[in-house]
Amino acid sequence: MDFDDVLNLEEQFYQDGFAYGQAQSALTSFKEGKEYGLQTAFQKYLLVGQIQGLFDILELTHIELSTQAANNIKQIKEFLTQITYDNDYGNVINTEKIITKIRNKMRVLVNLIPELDKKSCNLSNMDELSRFIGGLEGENGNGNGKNSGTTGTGIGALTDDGMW
Amino acid sequence: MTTSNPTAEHKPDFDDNDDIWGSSSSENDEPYKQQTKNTSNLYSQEDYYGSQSHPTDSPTIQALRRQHSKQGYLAGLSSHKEESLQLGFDEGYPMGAKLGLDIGKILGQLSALSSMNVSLNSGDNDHLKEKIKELLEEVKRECGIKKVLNSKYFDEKLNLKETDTHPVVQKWSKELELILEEVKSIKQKI
Repeated sequence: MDFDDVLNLEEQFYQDGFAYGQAQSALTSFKEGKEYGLQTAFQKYLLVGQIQGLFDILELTHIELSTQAANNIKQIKEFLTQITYDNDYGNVINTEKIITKIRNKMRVLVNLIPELDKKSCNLSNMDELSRFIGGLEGENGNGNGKNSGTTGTGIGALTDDGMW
Repeated sequence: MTTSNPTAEHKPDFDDNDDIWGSSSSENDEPYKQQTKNTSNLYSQEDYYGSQSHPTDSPTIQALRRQHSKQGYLAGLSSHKEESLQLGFDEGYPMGAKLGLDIGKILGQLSALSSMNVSLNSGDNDHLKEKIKELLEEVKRECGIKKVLNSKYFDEKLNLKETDTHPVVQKWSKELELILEEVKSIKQKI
């Protein structure tokens, strides 16, 4: 065995180990990433769902709306159709902007529908509920500013209670 | 580019000084042996590829194999991590979005109904209001992220088991449907 053979062996062993490490890492990391993607998006889209749910009820109950309220709802519904649900960078940025617009419209809208109890049906309460359901505040969430943000929970942050 | 950077959260749970390849030699090498059943023990399992040498290998070759395979293994672990995390995140994101949307809708419908005093409070509809409030509280208790994303609903690849619709969503959608039917009939009477 000459010097080149020894070098080739070292390279071969290194490459074998590299490929194995890569395969193992791929499996674990992929799963970790998927868990985190599930959590992050779940938390983010709770509010969108709540707003859609509110509109479903407004339609179902045939509440008479003022022109201003009707226009507001029409605009928000249009915005809702523009929301995307993938993690493409451009789509994420665009969706963030749309959600901001929806939030602004929602603040006005709840004041335009007298049939809704404004104390319980408002954007602040929707946010609080989203944080509560999304695990971003304590079990007895009281909306006192403990929100840690939509991406505040890291991978495995909720594993203690059996998730994953 | 992503909504967030999952790689920032984690560091591999191994120590460069550990002899992760073990030191025993046995009958054969098993390259790329799959260890998917318990990936959480990825860095602590003893039966790594590279821990086993050909029986005919000289001690020098065995040592060479251990040393360079280990280096390659560690480099391989870190080289693919970021990309794999990102791929996983991208795959999980739409699923999480759909679940959030579905649970949010249920909550939004119940919250809206419980906020509509004028529309439902006429005559003998108080029991319905009460029912709606109770259901809302129950949904709040049962649809938190820890319960919805519980591992019992997902397979090894973190896809929903057997069905496209999450069992929690199915359950509460059905309950809500009954309420909505009742609301509809009341609205028709008014």
